[in-house]
Amino acid sequence: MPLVTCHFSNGAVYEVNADSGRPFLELALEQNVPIRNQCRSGTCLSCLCRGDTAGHALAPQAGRATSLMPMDRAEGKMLCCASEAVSDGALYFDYSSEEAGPTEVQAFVDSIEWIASDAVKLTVELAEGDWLDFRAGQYVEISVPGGGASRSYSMCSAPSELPKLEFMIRVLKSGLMSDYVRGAAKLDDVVRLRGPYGDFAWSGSRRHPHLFIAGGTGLSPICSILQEIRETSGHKPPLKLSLGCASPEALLDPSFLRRLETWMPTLEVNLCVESGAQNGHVNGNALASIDFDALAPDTQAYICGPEGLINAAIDRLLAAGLIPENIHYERFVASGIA
Amino acid sequence: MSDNQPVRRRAKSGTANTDAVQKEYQPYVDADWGFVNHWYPALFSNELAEGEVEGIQIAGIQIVLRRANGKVYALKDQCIHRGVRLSAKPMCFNKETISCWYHGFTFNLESGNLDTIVGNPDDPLIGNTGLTTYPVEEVAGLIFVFVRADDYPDEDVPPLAQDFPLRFPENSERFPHPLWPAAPSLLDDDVVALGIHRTGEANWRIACENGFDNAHILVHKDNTIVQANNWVLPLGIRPASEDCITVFDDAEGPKGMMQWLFTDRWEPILENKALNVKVEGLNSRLYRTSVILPGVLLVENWPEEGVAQYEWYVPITDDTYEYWEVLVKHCPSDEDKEQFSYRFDTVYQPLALRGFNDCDLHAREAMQDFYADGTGWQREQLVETDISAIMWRKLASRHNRGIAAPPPGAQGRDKASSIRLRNVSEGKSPGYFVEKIDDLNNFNRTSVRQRNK
Repeated sequence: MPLVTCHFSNGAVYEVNADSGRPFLELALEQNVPIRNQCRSGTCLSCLCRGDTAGHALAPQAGRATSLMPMDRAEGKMLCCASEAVSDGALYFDYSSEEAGPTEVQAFVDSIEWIASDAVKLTVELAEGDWLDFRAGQYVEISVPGGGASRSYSMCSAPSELPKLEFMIRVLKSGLMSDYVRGAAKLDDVVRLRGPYGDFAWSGSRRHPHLFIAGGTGLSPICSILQEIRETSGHKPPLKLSLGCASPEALLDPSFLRRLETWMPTLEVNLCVESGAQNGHVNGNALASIDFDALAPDTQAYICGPEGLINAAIDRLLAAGLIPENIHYERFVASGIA
Repeated sequence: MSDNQPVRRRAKSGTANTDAVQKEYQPYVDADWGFVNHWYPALFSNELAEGEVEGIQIAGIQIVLRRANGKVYALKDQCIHRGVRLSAKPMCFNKETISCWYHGFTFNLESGNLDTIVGNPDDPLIGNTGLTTYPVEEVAGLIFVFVRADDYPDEDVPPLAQDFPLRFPENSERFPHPLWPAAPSLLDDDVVALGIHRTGEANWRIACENGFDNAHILVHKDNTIVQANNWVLPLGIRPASEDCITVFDDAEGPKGMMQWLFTDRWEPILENKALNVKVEGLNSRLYRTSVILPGVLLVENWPEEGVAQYEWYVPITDDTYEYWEVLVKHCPSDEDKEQFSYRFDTVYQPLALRGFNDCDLHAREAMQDFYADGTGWQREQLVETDISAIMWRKLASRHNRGIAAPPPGAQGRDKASSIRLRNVSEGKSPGYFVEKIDDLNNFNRTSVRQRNK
């Protein structure tokens, strides 16, 4: 049986044990090789590849019409769906075997809005010709204009809002990004973004209750995920969000959270403060509003915040009977968010 | 991306609107093309005879309907192959499928699956793809379609009653109506529904908000039905109590709000001293209105005793809607039916659905330009009586099942496409129905040039 190797532009190589007699595409897909395809009938050119110059692993299947022209064949181009393997050899695909990895783009500053006593929401728009796909919950590195260094921030906007991106940024007394957003930042500044990174993302489950635990700007990716859920078709599961901040003034964008709560009938938002609790606030950190004894064991939990909060939350959730697979978390290091 | 390239703003940058404040009811403001994942009326039953095919557009989604063996089926009206509307030239080889008239892609009416291709029955695509289907219910002579996003799961499709007004008498205790009998529902036994539908040139929200706007009674003063009945209307009706509107949003029930008109919770205004205008001998018809998602109006006790008027403002595009006016009455006997039908033809249609409500069509169109570019939602200056509209906007923001995003190919997305302009020049307004091909041998063009010799 011929052994055909498939080489992708990212360097990935897959081996296919290819019986003759069947279209190579079918065999390759059965062996989980990510070859693009659509019509599977020799027409649409999606499964185009180039053969090895040394020999020909594939030969056109007899009697199959394809949209390849003589000059294509002369260059060794072949269609996997209309060819069969005839000998060992290599095939080359001019795309990556993986979904697009991190990319670097530029974006214009649209606004910087104070959403708490020590935090802003930065809104940017990708520049003409630039694009950056992401999953709700992921983050990018932002190069601070003029500073050269980068800081990591999770998007708080939903992917559907692209080319707009929004970030919740904690503003410290001093720090690269903090100094920028407090001082020099202005409309139409150009910032560089690199990403996306991270695998903190919604599982897509709509049948199980969800619990979101956010410490400070750990709210950012959770906001993105909540909006992704809001835009999803069909029934929504019960959703609980507990946000913990230092004081009432430090609570992040509570008016937006209240709006989100009114737009999502299954969402309940609890605001926790370490000190100075006012009307409706719970005293304590983000765990203080959660009745762990009452958690359904099939709850999907999402945690983002400082290390200590995440560790404490995981302990409590495991003790409440959640299985580790249903506990999703994103750690961020305090110094890295300045 | 290269450092050598100048970095530019996107052509359609969002910076222009940074002054816009996010509203408490922002999802409603975002719903230019309407809400999806809701039940909407599509056709009257008599508009789709056995075997017939019709094409419509709701919330930017093109839908083809076919009646086969009595049952109505609805599929996305956009062939997966090249995007052709199946309804433009219906082709059906049997009772189970509909075929695209261009290349013969043939779809199963029940499942939407690509069952075969007329001239290519062994193509590998067959069985592996298909069109979105839309659940259909037919009640009281109306065909309703659940207009959904492609990924909306079958098991989550709610019953039709969840997108319908409250029923009486089962809600009579919760919403007492001592001044008139229980309003009939389209879902009741023995009801007859008679009505009309037509296209209005305004955004669906503008139309919907007009439907239950209590302060616009002034505009109806000169209507024939009002004068012929010697009704004397107040100048306006203003909210006089904090419970002038009651929201109902039970988990399994319809989501809407009831306005307690003709109770002491709303005050009729009989005099304006500044203008020296006074209303004597108030003699208004007693009615009340409720509005339900996705934009359904119920007017109880209107236009006459025992009759209720239903209205839908079905989004077609962001600047057209299909306006449905349906009168419902219990007609247990054939004689009742005949009487209702006679009265519909001679009184209700000309004087109520046309005369009275035509004046609303004028008002909606008059508002359209102000709201057309979206800034109207920021610029409008609201007053006390707009409480109804704002409550509705909040309710709709919370309970809609999805905001429509006009898909590529939606008719009317490009306002100045050459086809649209030609249709208009031929006297065909942008509308609800597909433009059918009636003569394949004749593509009428005024631009034909010919060399004879």
